[in-house]
Formats: sequence, C-alpha cells, structure tokens
Amino acid sequence: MKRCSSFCILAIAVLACAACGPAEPIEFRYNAVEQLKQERLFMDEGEHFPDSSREEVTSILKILFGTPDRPQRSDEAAAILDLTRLNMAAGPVESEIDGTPHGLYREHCAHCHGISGDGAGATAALLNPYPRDFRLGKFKFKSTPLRTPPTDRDLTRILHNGIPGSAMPSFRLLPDEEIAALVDYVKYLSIRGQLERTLLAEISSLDGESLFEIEQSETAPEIDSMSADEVPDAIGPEFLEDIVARWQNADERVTAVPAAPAGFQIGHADHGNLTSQGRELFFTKGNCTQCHGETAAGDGSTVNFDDWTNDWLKTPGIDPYDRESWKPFMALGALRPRPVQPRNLNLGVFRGGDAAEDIYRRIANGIEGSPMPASAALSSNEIWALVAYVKSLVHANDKFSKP
Amino acid sequence: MATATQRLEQALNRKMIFGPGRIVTRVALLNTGSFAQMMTADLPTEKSFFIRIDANRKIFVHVLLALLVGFALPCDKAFPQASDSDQPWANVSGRILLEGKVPEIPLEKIDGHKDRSICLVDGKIPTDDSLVVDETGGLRDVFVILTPLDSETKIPVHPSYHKAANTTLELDNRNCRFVPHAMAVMTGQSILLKNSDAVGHNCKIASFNNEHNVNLPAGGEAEIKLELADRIPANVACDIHPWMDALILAKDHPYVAITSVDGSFQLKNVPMGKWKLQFWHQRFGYLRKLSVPGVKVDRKGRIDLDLADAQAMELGSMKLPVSAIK
Ligand code: HEC
Ligand code: HEC
Repeated sequence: MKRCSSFCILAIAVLACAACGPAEPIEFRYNAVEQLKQERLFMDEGEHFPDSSREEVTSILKILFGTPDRPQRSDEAAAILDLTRLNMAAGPVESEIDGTPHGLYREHCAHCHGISGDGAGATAALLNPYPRDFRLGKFKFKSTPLRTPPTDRDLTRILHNGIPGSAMPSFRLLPDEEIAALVDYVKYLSIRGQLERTLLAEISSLDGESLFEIEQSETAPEIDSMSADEVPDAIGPEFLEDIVARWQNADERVTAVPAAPAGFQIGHADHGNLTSQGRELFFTKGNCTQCHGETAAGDGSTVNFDDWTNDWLKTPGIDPYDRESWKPFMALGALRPRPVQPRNLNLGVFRGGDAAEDIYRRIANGIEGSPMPASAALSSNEIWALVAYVKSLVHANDKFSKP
Repeated sequence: MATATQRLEQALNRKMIFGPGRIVTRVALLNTGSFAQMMTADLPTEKSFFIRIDANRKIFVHVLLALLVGFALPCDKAFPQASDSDQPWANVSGRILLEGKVPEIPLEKIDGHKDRSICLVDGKIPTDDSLVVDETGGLRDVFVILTPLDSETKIPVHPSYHKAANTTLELDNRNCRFVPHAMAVMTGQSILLKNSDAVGHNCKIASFNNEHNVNLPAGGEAEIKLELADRIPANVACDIHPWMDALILAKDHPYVAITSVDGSFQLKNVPMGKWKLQFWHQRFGYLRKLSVPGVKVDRKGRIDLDLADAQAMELGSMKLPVSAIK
C-alpha cells in the first residue's frame, strides 16, 4: 500500500513537470552504459571512444528510426512495423479531429519504460522487478525459446493481462488498434536499441577509430554503367536486416505444447499419480529445488542478477558487491544491481500467465533473461507432471487459507 | 545525366545499407538532421554523399563534389585465396609467460553455500581459475585466434579438421567447476554439457551472438550448439553456484588454440597466406601489452602472421606484464 501511494505521488509529480517544463524537443537517450562497457572491455584504462562516436550513432539511428516525436520506419523493417501504428504510439499525447490518438506510449508506458525503452523511466528505480529495458531485445514471457523474440500475440497478451506480481499493469481497456500500435512501438524501440548496441560494438571493433571516414570522391564514375536492377542488389543492410529477420521469424519458432495426458484433469483417476510423479521430479531430475527450495517457497539458494544487469555488471574490473566499482555505470543511467529471486510457487501468482500451457512453456523454455533454465532432458509427459505438481501447490495453498 | 541522377536517388532512398562494399544512406540529407550538420562542418551544403562499408566493415562517407555526377561502387580487394587441396600448411606455436609478481589468487566463495561439501576439490576450497599461472610464469587459457585481414575472407580449412567439426566436445560440471575452464568450438559443433556432481546446476551461456540456459540436474546431460561466431568468448555461468565460470569461443573455423598450463599453444595446419593472430585472456582482454620478439602487437592484441613457405612457425616466448590485468 505504502509503495503504491509513493508511486502515485511520483507519477503526479512527473506529469506536473511535463506540463510546466520548457518545450524542449524530446530525444532518445543515448546508450552511454553500453559505450562505457565497450570501452572497459576493449580499450585501456582511461581510453575512450572518439568524441564523434556518439553523434555518429545518434545520426544513423535518427535516419533509420526518426525521433520520439516523428518515428521513421526504414524499408528493412517494413515487414514487421507499421508506420501508421508507430505514429499513433509516438509523439506527445494528443488526438486528431477524427479522434485518432497520438502519444499512446508516452501516455501509458514511458514513466516506467522510459522514452527510449531503456526501462529507466521516472518511476523505474522504485519498482521490483524493474520495468523491462527493451533495448536488449530480451523478453521473459513468450511462446518462443531463448534468443527468439516474442510474437505479436505474446506482446498483445502481455498488454492485455499485464504481469501479475509486478508493476506492469493490464491495458485490457484499450481498444485493439491502440494495443496493436503499442505492440509495434515496443518492437520499434527494441529493434532500435538492438541496432544501437550493435553499432557501439562495431565502433569498438574499429579500434577506436571513427565510424565514418570522409572520402571525397571527385571523379565518381559511371552510374550509367550499372543496370537499374544491379543497384538494389548491391544494397543490403546487414545489421538491421539480421535483427529484423529474427523478429520476423518468431512466429515459426513458437514452442509447440503437446496435449496434456488425461490424468492432468483434476478429478481424473490418474491425477494423483501424475502430481506425485511431478513432486518426485521437482526434487530430482527437474532440479527445481536447487532454486525454488524444497517447499517451493523460492528459497533454494543464492542466485545471480538478471541479464539486463549482468549485461554491464560482468564487465572486467566490476565487483557486484563493491558499490564503488559500479558507480560510473550508475552515473550513466544503469539501475542499481538487485539479485533476482526464484519464484515462491505457493502463492499462485504466475507472471507469464497461469494457464497450464503457460506454465508448460516456462518449464520447457526457461525464462529469458533470468536464471530460470530451459529443461533440456525432460520428456513432455514429465513436464506435464511438473505443471500438475506446481498447480497442486497452489490448490494446497487455497485449502490452507480457507477457513 | 538526369536519368542517372534519378536512378541514384531512387536507389539510395530505397535502402539504408549495412554491409561490406555497400552503400548506406540516402541523398539530399544535408539540410536535415544532426548527421547532416555534422557533415556540413567541412562541406559546402547542397552536396550529396553516400556511405559504404568496406570489407573491413569500416564505414566511409563519400562526398560527391559535383552534384551527382555518379558514383563508384567500391570494388572488393582481391585476397590470395589458396585452394584447399594442393597448398602447404604450417604449424604455428609459441608460449605466453607472465612477467612480474602474480597477485594472490583468491579462494572461490564457497563458504556458507548449502552445497559446500560437494564443491570442495580434494577436500579443499579451490582457488579462482580465471588466472592460472604455473611456476615458470606460463599463463593458461589465453585464446589464440587466427583472423583474416578482412571479414570477407574465409580461412581455408585443412582436411584433418573436417572430422573434428563433427565430434562432440564436452563441458563437465565437476565439484562445482566447469571443466575445462576455457574451450573453443566451431559454429554448429555439438557441445555435451554434463553434470558429474550429486547436486543440480544450470548452465547459462551468454555472448553477443549466442545464448543458452540449460537445466542440469545431478548426473544430467544435454547437447547444445553455438550457431553464430563471436568476437570474444561467451561467459558460462551457473546461477546456483555464482562462483562457477567458464569461457567458450565459437568461430566459423577451427583455428583457435588455448594455452595449456605452461602457457604454450600450437595451431596445427594453418593455411599459407597473410593472417593475423590475435591473443585474448579473460583477465587482460586483448593482450595489447604482449611483447613478441621482433613483431609489433597492435591495440587489438594482434600480430601479423605471414605464412609463405614455412612448414613450422615458432613464435617463441612472449612476455606479458602482470600490470596489464584489467
Ligand atoms: C507502472 C510501471 C509500468 C507501466 C506503466 C508499464 N509497464 Fe511494462 N513492465 C513493467 C515492469 C515492472 C515490467 C517487468 C516485469 C517482470 O520482469 O516480471 C514490465 C514488462 C513489460 C514488457 C516485457 C514482457 C516480457 O515478456 O518480458 C513489455 C513488452 C511491456 N512491459 C510493455 C509495456 C507497455 C507497452 C506499456 C504501456 C502500454 C507498459 N509496459 C507500461 C512496468 C510497467
Ligand atoms: C537456476 C535456478 C532455477 C531452477 C533450476 C528452476 N527455476 Fe523456476 N524460476 C527461477 C527464477 C529466478 C524464476 C523467476 C524468473 C523471473 O520472473 O524473473 C523462476 C520462475 C519460475 C516459475 C514462475 C513462472 C511465472 O510465470 O511466474 C515457475 C512456474 C517455475 N520457475 C518452475 C520451475 C520448475 C518446475 C523448475 C524445475 C523443472 C524450475 N522452476 C527450476 C529459477 C529457477
């Protein structure tokens, strides 16, 4: 309760400021944390990227993605991003005469996820878990395996249902086309963030030289000697195309969920057996107790940080337990490292959805960005048995709490 | 001329390009956006430019001084490319020695963990294995990586490796350590993750291009592949035992050696030609402070490797100052 009220006050303060502040153009925030990480990884102490790098990266991104007020969609992304939708989601909050809304992202999401989708909006530091930083392209609750982006359906579901047990609210009340606009905008911010990281990595591989080198070609010959078809052929974006292709193929990589065994039905004669097989697996081959603990209360053992934190925390010379060592990263916008806890499975709160199929996919694929691993050696029936057991913990809890 | 201009404009407007030998941006941007402003510092306005990335992935901005006279498509440089069969091959070897006082190696932070008894090695708490130096100064686990001069060039692979690419490598979890600590694989090669311990682990592999997080119960195993090549090794970690770590480097060729306990390495059957040899270590990053007799080491820890007709190339003892630890 207390947390909620301080959050509300902050939100009001943020809104108030937005209303009274000078009308400066809103810019995407440069990923300075990634730059510092690259410098630490690949350069000597005290060495930095050339001063021009930031402008170069910003410029390329601006050409490809536009600004928070005026989004661009390059042709490479045409197959997966719709410019009309992006325009609905981007920009300041307003609507056209015909009622078409603008600025949905700033209205509903930016105070948590940040204008740039860096997960560091005004209220972020108060929330646990932190809002998602979209720029790594990693998502937790989806139907696809690790390193495959979520499908549109997955993102739509997240917006419909929110993430129970976290600050991420449900946007069920928004009309479908607004949800679709926000889904595209999440993908847009994510792809933009991924390309930004790739460009920064590219700069570090260039040995600290500038990304651009100006060559003045005074005698540039013979475009006429090329046929019209040749030109587009010679033109093929590499980085951006790779990133977009992964998003584009997500639908084909959805993890199939086989039908549950008959005993999965509560009340079926085999249900008890399946549940106790699941309990057995939870302690043995499932390896679940190592993290979730024997009572599944989430107290199995110490765990590490999540990928969004580890991404910079694992830079050489940084000690997660030495505040001084990570201060420079926080000064550039990184959020304070906070260890992730395995879930207490007795509470019946499933962030990725409580349908049997959802829990099946969590166990089969793991949870991207978190320590929760993918089950490599369990058969589908074994996974179903685990789902039955995990669900039974909740029912047991129900019984317990009822008078 | 007008048609050429139009065509160029069309082509450039159509796509942003990121890729070797390709054009990147559109014309007529000079008066818009900060990118344009950056350019105008040196240039008269109203001029057009395009960008290409050459084969070394360096991005060039070409400025067409005359308004769209036309442009040159960059032509890729030709590289000596020996055929697989009838060319000689050389073995490249050397040894990396640490110079200076080796810092005290800390014990792994096992105390207080519920699995402590299983994580002891011969009844003792093991030392951290990110810096392993023998009594002669030999530095273990330096990655020695053959790199082409150019990202377009594919390194010819000696027939003896064809079979190796289909063999399965093992990464064991034993006494809560990864064994081996450092390994190199080819993209698409199978890696068997094993757990020889009586307690469960998870095996989380993360790099710029690859990612896995495998559940490994006591006695369990699972096979994985790294599908894409990386610049530096992926981190391997276990969330249950946070001190556990290992490194796996995936490359699309087999020419990666890892120094053994005395700091020595050997790359076998390297094709003739001009290459670079790059050195990387977990605690040092690229070994730019490495001194190799008579050879210059660049900022990326690389030396030139010119294999003409030598059957064996011995680089000798190379010294690395302890002070270069990050
Ligand atoms: C009150 C803060 C808050 C607001 C407002 C908010 N989010 Fe979130 N969002 C979160 C948090 C916190 C998480 C991370 C939850 C977790 O990691 O379990 C999250 C996660 C997400 C995810 C990641 C889901 C996954 O599978 O990884 C997406 C996508 C997302 N939010 C989109 C949005 C969009 C779009 C909006 C606006 C319509 C929005 N959020 C508004 C707090 C917020
Ligand atoms: C290496 C540690 C680890 C192991 C092993 C592990 N988990 Fe988890 N699990 C986690 C963490 C951490 C989370 C919370 C992830 C998050 O939301 O960030 C989690 C979350 C979950 C969730 C919640 C999903 C949701 O939608 O909220 C379920 C269910 C779950 N685990 C079941 C299992 C089962 C069953 C096993 C054994 C097969 C298992 N876990 C093994 C660490 C682990």
